[in-house]
Amino acid sequence: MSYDDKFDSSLDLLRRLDPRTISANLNSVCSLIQNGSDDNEEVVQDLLSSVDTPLQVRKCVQSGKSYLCCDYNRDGDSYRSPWSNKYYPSPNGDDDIPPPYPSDLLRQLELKANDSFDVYRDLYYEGSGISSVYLWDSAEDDEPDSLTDGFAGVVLFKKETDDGSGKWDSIHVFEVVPVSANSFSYKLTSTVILDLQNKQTSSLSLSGNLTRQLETSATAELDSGLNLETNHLIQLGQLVEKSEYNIRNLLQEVYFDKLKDIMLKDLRSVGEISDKKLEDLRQSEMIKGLQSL
Amino acid sequence: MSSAIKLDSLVNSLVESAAPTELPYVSKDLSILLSGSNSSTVVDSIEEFVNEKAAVFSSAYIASKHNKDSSSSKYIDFISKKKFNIDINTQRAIDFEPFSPLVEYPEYYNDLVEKLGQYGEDHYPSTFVFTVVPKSSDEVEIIIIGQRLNHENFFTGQWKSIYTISNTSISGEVSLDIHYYEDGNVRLNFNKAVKENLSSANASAIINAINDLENKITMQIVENFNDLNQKYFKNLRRLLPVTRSKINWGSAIGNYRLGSDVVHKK
Repeated sequence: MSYDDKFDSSLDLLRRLDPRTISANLNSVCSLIQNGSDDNEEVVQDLLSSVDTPLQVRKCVQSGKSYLCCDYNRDGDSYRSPWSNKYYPSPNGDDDIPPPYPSDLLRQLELKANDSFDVYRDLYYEGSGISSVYLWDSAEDDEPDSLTDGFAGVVLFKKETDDGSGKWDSIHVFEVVPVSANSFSYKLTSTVILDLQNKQTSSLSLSGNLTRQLETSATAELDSGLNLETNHLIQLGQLVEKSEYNIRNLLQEVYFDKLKDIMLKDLRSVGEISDKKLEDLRQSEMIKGLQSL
Repeated sequence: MSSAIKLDSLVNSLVESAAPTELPYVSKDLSILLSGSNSSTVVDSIEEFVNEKAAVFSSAYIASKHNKDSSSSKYIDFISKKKFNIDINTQRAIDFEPFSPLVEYPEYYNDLVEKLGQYGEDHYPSTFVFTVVPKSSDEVEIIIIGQRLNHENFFTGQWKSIYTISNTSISGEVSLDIHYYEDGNVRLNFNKAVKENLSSANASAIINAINDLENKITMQIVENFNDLNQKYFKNLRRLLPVTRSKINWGSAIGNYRLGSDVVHKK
């Protein structure tokens, strides 16, 4: 079987299995593929970087703050902290190749982006949760001018309710590409993993993930006193804010309207189907009544 | 040997978390990942899933451990008194042959089958399949499955009830599994054990009890939906900040920090 067959079948399989066990399922699929033959390592690596799983939390020793981990700040078993720019645990010294870091110029933007999205987290996640932003240079030069030539990054948020009944992970991967002088396109792919279940009151569990893309382009207004760095921050901030707003509305629609409609209209009807029209009316009123409680 | 065991357990763990309405796709994907060399592993695992959880074939027959023929690979339809095999990939019941059950049927059996059919027409808008397995003159098992496969619109769902009627008691489990996967993968899961007494051991009393139980469970799920929405989803991530306006990005964003005491007081 070819690379494409294995990769596509893996993705198709994973979306037909329970999303609550996505991390375990992904590991099992990778083991199955590796079991088949040694030259499947590329499929495994690509699956690990393209399938979103709930974010891991680590502690940055230097700053004492928590940070989020994904494939983009990983080097082997170590993860880079956005607060100190250090990898934890320290990567093995016997490796000649140093772990990747953003260029100095981009690291300055990364610091500011972490600050800005931390304010965003505070405002939208009611003062709790964790955020992390990681940037990387698109060019492979030794000293790239990434603010002008383009770069990429990921913005991460994670929040859990105190009793563990609600879990939210959002992963926004973006690419900034120059289209003409001082004009850039910003392409964003956002995934939110949402898991809801109150074990105390019911076995009802709503769990899963939705992915959407959003794109914008803008010309930097450098004459109004803003530098290129601030222009990028504003565009990325607005794009992530808009995308998360859209997905949150979509989650509301899918989790609470769509699933309930499928249950009541496609699977089992409380009233007799022969008086369906009357019943639909009664049911929607009953639900409205419950919602206003 | 040990790697074969490992392979089996990997396949089993994956199949176990499959949406019950997606088995043919899961089977096909797994066969590709295993390069066809271990196709019996996949078939065995999916048959195990069918036996444990019950599944619909040919939109008309149920296969499960409850109606499995102990002396062959076949499943028994006690209503039409036939045995059949199942084809996982086409979801069809095949190789029918007549079968003469040795077990005694309760007196209410035929009436119950007829009334269950009517009950399904009244309350299950999509595919409705049921079977009644006689265990003795005063005991039966009832399996009801209502399901909808709408792959064009990226959703499938299944309502499943399994009851044991013994004299004048009814007990069992109701479960609901809905899968929505347009640009994502969202799953609803629910199950609840039930136990009630019947007013008497006849078909009408059984149907009334099932209808009451299932209506109550539906209403409970609707309430649970609202509970999760209001108590957990709503404030997990706010729709807008407390200020009710979007963020003013840029170098002045630090000003929110200065005002954050005000923000947290709401």
